[in-house]
Amino acid sequence: MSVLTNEPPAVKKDRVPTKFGWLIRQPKAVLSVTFLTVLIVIAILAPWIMPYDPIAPNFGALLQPPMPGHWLGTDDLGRDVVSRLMAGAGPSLLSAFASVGLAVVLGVPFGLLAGFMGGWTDTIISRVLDAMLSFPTILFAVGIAGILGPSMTTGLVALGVLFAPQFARLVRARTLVVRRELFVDASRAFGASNLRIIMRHILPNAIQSAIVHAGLLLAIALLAESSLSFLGFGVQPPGTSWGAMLARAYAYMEVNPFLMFPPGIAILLTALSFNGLGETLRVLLDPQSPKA
Amino acid sequence: MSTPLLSVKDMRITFHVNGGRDQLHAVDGVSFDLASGESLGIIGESGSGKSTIARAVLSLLRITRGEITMEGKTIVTPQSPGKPGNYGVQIIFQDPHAALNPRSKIIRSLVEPLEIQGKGNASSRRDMALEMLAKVGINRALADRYPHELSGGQKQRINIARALLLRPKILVADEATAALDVSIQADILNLYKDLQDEFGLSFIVITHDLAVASYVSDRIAVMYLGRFVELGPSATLATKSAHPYTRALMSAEPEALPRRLQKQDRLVLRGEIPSPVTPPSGCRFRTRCPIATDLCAAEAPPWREMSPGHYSACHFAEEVMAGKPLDGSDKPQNLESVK
Amino acid sequence: MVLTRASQRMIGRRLLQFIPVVFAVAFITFMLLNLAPGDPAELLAGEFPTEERIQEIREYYGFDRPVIVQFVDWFSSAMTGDLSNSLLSREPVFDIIASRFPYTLMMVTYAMIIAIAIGAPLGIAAAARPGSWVDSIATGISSFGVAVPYFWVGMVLVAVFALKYPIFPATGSVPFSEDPIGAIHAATLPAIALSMSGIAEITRQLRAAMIEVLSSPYVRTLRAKGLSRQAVLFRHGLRNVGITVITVITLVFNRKIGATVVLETVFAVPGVGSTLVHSAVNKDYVVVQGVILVIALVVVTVNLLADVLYAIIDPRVEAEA
Ligand SMILES: Nc1ncnc2c1ncn2[C@@H]1O[C@H](COP(=O)(O)OP(=O)(O)O)[C@@H](O)[C@H]1O
Ligand code: SF4
Ligand SMILES: [Mg+2]
Repeated sequence: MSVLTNEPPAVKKDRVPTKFGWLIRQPKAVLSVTFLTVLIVIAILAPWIMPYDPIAPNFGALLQPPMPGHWLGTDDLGRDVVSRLMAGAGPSLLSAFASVGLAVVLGVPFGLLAGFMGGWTDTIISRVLDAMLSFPTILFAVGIAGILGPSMTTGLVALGVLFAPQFARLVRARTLVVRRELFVDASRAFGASNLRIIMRHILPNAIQSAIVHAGLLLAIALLAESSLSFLGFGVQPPGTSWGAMLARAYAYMEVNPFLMFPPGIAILLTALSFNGLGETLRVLLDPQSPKA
Repeated sequence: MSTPLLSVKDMRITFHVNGGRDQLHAVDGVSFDLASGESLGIIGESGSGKSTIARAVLSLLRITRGEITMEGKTIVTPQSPGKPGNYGVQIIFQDPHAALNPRSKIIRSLVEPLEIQGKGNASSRRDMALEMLAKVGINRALADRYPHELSGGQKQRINIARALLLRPKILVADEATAALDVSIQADILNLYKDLQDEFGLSFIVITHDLAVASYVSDRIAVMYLGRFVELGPSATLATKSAHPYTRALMSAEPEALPRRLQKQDRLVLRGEIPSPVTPPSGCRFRTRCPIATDLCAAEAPPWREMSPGHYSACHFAEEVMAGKPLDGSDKPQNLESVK
Repeated sequence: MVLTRASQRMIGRRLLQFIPVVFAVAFITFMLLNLAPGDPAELLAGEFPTEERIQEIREYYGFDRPVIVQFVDWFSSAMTGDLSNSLLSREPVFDIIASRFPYTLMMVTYAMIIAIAIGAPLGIAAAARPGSWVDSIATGISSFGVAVPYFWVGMVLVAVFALKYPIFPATGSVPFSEDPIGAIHAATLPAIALSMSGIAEITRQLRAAMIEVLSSPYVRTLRAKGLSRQAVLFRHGLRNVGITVITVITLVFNRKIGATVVLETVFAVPGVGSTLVHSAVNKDYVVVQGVILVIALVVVTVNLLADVLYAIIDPRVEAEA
């Protein structure tokens, strides 16, 4: 085989260090990820690190302003606001993650199916997606919660189902492109089944836009869950979430307007961090965007 | 004669285009045989249906009419499309980069055919793949790279190695060198020849490049608008072509011809290849043929054997073979007057 | 206006898609009730149903018939405007929605106006000088706008501008037809709260679209030919972002109509949103179903109108699938 020449290997790019280096130079990305990490740790450790019982009323200390011992004051039942914020972090975050996770799990397969099969399958799925995207999220979730009975699970399932079409659409659009790629034909020529082609070739090349969208949707999910809990259709007492805390703050607004700030700002900062996370994912996963 | 390795009989492949309103016969009645160890070139302009033949032979699309047999056994008919990958035919595509999943390491792409066909276990598959890499001249260290880290020539060798892992009897190369630099092209073509010796492979080499076809092929088929117009031994086509289209292709690329023929009539093909949705009546080449007559518009020329193994579809095949000038100098009638 | 063939074809295709989508919307809404565990009649009968009451409801709504028959029946009445009667007040659901809808529409329209009035200049100014301090402010505002809980903004606004400084009423509303000034006055705080995400979205998308147009070779040529920055910005930039403007306005409208559910509750506005919440709490499923159907149909129709506008502005736009 003397005719064969060994071409010099193409320039090897060390992509990982480059991306990481880029990442730690982005204040927004670093702040978002740090904030979310700390928050998740607090949410998990809450039962052990809360200074007070977040549920048991203390009628001796109703609606206290911030003071040493109760750094953010107490609520209408005399419960420590810091403790309640910590207790509410779990359900709030969990609802956001679970509803977005559910949406991915439901939406991605339908998007793959519609994009891969085309024809009538695609037409029917696409029209149903159009229809589902026409239901305003909160409106529909309130309706479902009303019919199935309000609970955190009902709320997050309703949100997950309503968010799913967004992922289905994104993945469908990518699938339409990827399924025509030559490596799909190559795989088929080796005898690959449709399932294998979808799992090995289409999904890994179609999922990026969905991942980026998931990051951004977490913020929307958090706000949606807060709205539901605020209206009383989300987390039910004695459990708490930031939205539920806002509902109580609303009821006592004239007496102690300060109460609305801790949960409101917690939601705001968390949503900002989710958006920061989404933006970061977008840049990391999109080869087009500049990383230098 | 013994049974051919591969036999394609009267194959037609139809696409529905313009929202299903029109039919496009991308391949319209093509027949050919491929002997064991033989190398057949298929040449023709872009859009003539070469890739469609390749895909049909691989069972990557359904045929509308005809049949494909392998060693006498029917494997593809319109009613029962073949199962890709399990009758010993593999393919190399034109774009070496696009044929590899960008998110899989090379080794993962390489073992895929073995995985699909259930050959060996994880570690033996890896060994087979690395061994095959060596055979196509690729350093095994590249196995853990991603496609974007390799050059085009390296990627095409990897595609060849991958296709060979299933030990095919026939390798179809669909413009497999067209996207590569000329020097690397030659390397790949030499690799074909080595592999042919080592594995007893048969080749179908699809190209629009006459030089490539005549370098590697024993026989060449010339395709125009979904049909074969000429088929014969490479040397015969170069020296005694019996079809104006073949002659036109040759004169467009004189370097591919023996020196003594290079100064022959310089015929430049006029106009565009017509739409396969509405092919011309009679001879499909007549709208661009410099010697077309009324007969060519009225009747499709039959597929005739001019000499043993040399076929042509032209009403004036004898004259063309005898060296009739193609610049219309012996006859006033040319393209414009035919309509 | 004369439409090109391409525009006509696209509008025709969109109209054809409209029908199955309306059908699917209706079907999903209808099936909501069947989602509930158990017998819908028992559900409808309320907390402490008697056997007669359940039987009465079952016959009245025809729950003993096959689901498909029920759906066809319900759908055909719904299309004639008969959405059945409230379980609580016995009022026709259509009348309830019709009397509440103006309040919701007023709030959404007001919020849209605020969002466009703030978002559009901000987006254009940011696109004119990317990287400038104006751009930083615009980016900051749009990050804040999409992340802030709008109902919390509503609460803060009430605390400041109604309770501490009583400039606006804390709650309540005035019918626009009776007292337009009073209606606008009463709707100001909820509309501001509702406009948050709209400001963000309009700023962000308009900025992105303008930057894209302004960096196109065509516009660069105009600049090179000596046209002023302002002239290019307004004459060519804005005209070429028409599609984006429609897209973002449609999107913002769709989001806002959902968000009214919460804000109407905060501000005690008697719109369809608070009606939905009230009905859901009181298990008045017929009203819940009616409100969801009507709002979804409004959204579908607005999307259709947006698509028709796309086709008129730019016939090259192909509807995806
Ligand atoms: N999937 C398809 N659908 C519709 N038309 C096709 C399809 N594939 C190929 N064609 C048409 O069939 C004809 C032959 O194409 P192809 O086999 O790719 O030609 P070649 O490989 O010789 O350039 C062309 O006119 C092409 O447009
Ligand atoms: S049959 Fe007529 S038109 Fe066709 S190639 Fe021969 S001479 Fe030309
Ligand atoms: Mg081709």
